[in-house]
Amino acid sequence: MRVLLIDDEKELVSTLSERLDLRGIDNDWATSGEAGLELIKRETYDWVVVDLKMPGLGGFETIRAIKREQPRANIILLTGHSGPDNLEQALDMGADQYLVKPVEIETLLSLMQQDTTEVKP
Amino acid sequence: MNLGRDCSATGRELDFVGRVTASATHEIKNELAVINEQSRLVLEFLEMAASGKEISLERLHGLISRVVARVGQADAVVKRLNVFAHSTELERTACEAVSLLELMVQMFGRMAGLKRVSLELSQEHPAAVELTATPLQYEQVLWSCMSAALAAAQPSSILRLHLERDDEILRLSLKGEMTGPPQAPPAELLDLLGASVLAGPGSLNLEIPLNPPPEAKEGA
Repeated sequence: MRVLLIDDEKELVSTLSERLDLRGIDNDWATSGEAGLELIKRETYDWVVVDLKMPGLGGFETIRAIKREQPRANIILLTGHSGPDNLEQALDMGADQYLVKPVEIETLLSLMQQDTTEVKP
Repeated sequence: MNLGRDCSATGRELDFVGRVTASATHEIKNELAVINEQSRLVLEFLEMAASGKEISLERLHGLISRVVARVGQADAVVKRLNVFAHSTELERTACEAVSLLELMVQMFGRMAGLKRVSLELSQEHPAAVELTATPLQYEQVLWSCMSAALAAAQPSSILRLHLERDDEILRLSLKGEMTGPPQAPPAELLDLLGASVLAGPGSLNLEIPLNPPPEAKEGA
């Protein structure tokens, strides 16, 4: 399993990456939607975790662009606050899951271990 | 709001307080999310150490130092939110314009950051200026001016704010690279302070009389 983490908060995304490393999960991270898309164009990921509120390319725009580049990538939207509007919009944009910060890594891993291949085109 | 003198609040005031509070709590939540990740990583390192694996003390020290720093940042946001919350209780009297401007600039920083715009408040300003207004009215006008300037600002640019006193007038200018003239805040909001705004290419200039005329009434 290969994971890409995108969040403008460098300390959060780098620490989450280190915790995934400890669990033997291959991952990369980026601190902007634009930087994440650069990686998406070069590498293939099974899961992409995207923050909703980012300067520049925001979460929704990033998800839309990821779907264009890698339609088979599974996407988890991260947000500071839960909200049905955000959830609905995220799912409409192509996100597969939705997590509210702070992230419980076991919850994140459990989502990633779900087999979503059946629902992918 | 304003419970010490009047329990009523206008929809505009509620909207403003809601926006500021939502932004500040988002900042706090962000700090807590970072603290959560870093402290959990510390725990994982300690569990590794307890099971006999070698861990880097330097890395552990670095992580804990960052947790301490982020707690400090979260505390600063909470303090600002607390000052802001208490400012809604104060009556229309002499409010201190400089410190409230500094507060609003700090609280607006996250909004500006989402557009990668930096706010720079000139340090060449009066030490303190007393303005006849409720702090909430003054804060609303400042927030509204910053929002207007930000909406017009080029992404990844700098918005420079300069405050000066000219006799009985307080002048705040907001200048930067803008796509067009900023939209002036609503007249009914400016009227609360007897204030006026002149918006031009790349700038918004706010003028507030220190002692507004009688027609500039609270809740007008």
